[in-house]
Amino acid sequence: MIGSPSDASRCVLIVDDNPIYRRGLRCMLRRAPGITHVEECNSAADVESLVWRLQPSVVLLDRRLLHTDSLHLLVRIRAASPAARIFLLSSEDDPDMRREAFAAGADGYITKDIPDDVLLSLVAG
Amino acid sequence: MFLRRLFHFTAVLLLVWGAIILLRTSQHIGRTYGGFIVIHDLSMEPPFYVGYFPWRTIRSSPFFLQAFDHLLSIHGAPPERYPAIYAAARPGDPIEYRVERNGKTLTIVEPAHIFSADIFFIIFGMHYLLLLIVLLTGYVLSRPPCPPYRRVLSLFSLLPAIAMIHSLWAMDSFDGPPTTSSYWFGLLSAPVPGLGGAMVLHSLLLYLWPRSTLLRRAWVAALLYVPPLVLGALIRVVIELGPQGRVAFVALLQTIFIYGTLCLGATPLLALYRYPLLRRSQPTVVQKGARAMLIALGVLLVALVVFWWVPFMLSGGPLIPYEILIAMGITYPLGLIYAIFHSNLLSQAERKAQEAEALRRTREQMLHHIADRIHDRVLPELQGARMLIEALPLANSEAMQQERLMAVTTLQGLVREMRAILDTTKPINWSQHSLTEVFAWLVQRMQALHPHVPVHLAVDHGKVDPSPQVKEAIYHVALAALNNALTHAQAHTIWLRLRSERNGIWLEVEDDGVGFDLASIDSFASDRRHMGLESMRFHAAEVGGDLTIESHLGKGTLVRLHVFNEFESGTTYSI
Repeated sequence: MIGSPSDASRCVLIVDDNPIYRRGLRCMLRRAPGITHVEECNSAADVESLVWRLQPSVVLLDRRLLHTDSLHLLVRIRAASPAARIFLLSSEDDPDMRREAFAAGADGYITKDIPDDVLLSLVAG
Repeated sequence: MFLRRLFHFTAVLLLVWGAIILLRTSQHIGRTYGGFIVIHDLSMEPPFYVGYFPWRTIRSSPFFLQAFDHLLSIHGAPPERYPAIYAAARPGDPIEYRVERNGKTLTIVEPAHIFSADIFFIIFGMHYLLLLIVLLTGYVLSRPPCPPYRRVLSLFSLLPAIAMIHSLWAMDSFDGPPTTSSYWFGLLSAPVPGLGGAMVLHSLLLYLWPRSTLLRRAWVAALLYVPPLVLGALIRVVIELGPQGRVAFVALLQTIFIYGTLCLGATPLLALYRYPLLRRSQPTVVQKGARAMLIALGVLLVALVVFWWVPFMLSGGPLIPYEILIAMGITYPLGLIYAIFHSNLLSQAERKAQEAEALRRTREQMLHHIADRIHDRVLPELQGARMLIEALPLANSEAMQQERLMAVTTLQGLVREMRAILDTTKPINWSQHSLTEVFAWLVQRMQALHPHVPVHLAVDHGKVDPSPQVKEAIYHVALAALNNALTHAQAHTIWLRLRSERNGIWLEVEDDGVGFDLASIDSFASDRRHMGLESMRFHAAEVGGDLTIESHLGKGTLVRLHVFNEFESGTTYSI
């Protein structure tokens, strides 16, 4: 789960507690051009240390992590890696949640049923 | 608490007062009660009406005693027997007498009605019984837990009780000095039938629209109570006209009765209309409402005959206005009691509303639970599984490639289906979002799921503030209609229109799809595939809306919903 710091500038970190979705997303991102490294994390406890270590360019953070306030976690990730682009992942397409995400400092709000090409273009920046 | 104490205090006071009057009346059983006499002054043309006089006045007036003495002397009765003749005067004894006084000729042209105290004791007894029933009804209505409209209604029941006590008081003390309360008795009693009906209707309105503004409440109260009060005041005026005003008196009396009966009849009609859960179809409302009105009218008529016509016919002689007012004071509470008990429709409405609210909460909790499960597990895992399959190394076999593609397509379809379910079950905080905002979001979602079918949204802003319940109902009807159009209609274009007018909110969902045969769909109403139609009808009925669905094979479908405005919030803003 711990990746190499040398890949940091082209690294994507997925933070999601659903293993199948996390695994599927990782597989999809790995095949994408321009992304050299994809890391997974399933709990909030490991996120900060991972971010410090990897300094990922993109963080895909689940909006509804178990026992965790994702927005609070987002602020902590932002503090640990100011340059990272942080996207909130959610199954819900809710305008209120979008507003909250942007207010907390997210760079984007992505629904989990978004088409792959749209997701990749967002991650590529 | 204050209203309840006020009711209890007043009720006890009235009961004690009524009991004292009843006891006093019982002392006169077997004796002549009194009489009324009409005098015309023939020195003036046309003849001038002087007034009605109760027996106590006649007996205390030397002038009238002189007149009666003269009458008796004409009939040959010796003077020493006059007191005995007065005491033995029978009901309906005709008395006609002309006398010269101060240069004027006074003629007694109508019989003096002599009443026995017995019949008045019976009437007083029934009166007191009705008083007990009315106050008991008010007490039952005021028992906690009771909503505000019941507290008001319990206080309303005091008015006929006060009128009854007042009428007892006015009829009492015939051996004492003439009471001056008969004038106020007339004023107080005349509007009671109309006021009673208006009270019941008003209490229902307070219940149906508990959050109406003070100004609107005052306006509605004025509209309801002014007509009977004006008619009652007019009755008092025509009473002063005496026999000349009898036609006008009867017409006014009938008008007040009809007004009260219409109000009583409107009560169940309104309850049925406002709470569609009490009915199953529109004709039932009319039938039940008409039946309620007929029953109210029948009860009033029976009460009139039993408590008014029979006793006074037995007492002999035609009726005079005070007698009719007395009878009204006795009769009307019956109608009011009927109306109050008949208004158990209100209780039914309350119960149905509570059941509907409990059902709604349960449904909402279930939907939350389902939505959470879909959000947390189903949708991400379907999406994850699809991405995993797509990430698998390409197979050499064409057949395997086809199967892989089929699996991916199926999973993509399932994800879309889950998204549609989430949109359908999504709870919306209607106090924070307008219909316009939610409809824009809904159209955006639908377009994302079905990009090949354009959905045109047209919202006409108005100054209406629908309640959250109305907003939710409109939203669900629109959602079901859109889902039907996008899923089954094979439509090329869909139009979603929402406009607000003075008489309510109109929703239209129209498509140019294949249409359907509404009759054949209705014949399979229990089929779960037609839950969209059932859902639309259910949500429309929940807010008393009118839903029409027009569809013809090959000519598209038009779903139209009209929800009347509610008299609710004082603030207004757009939909």
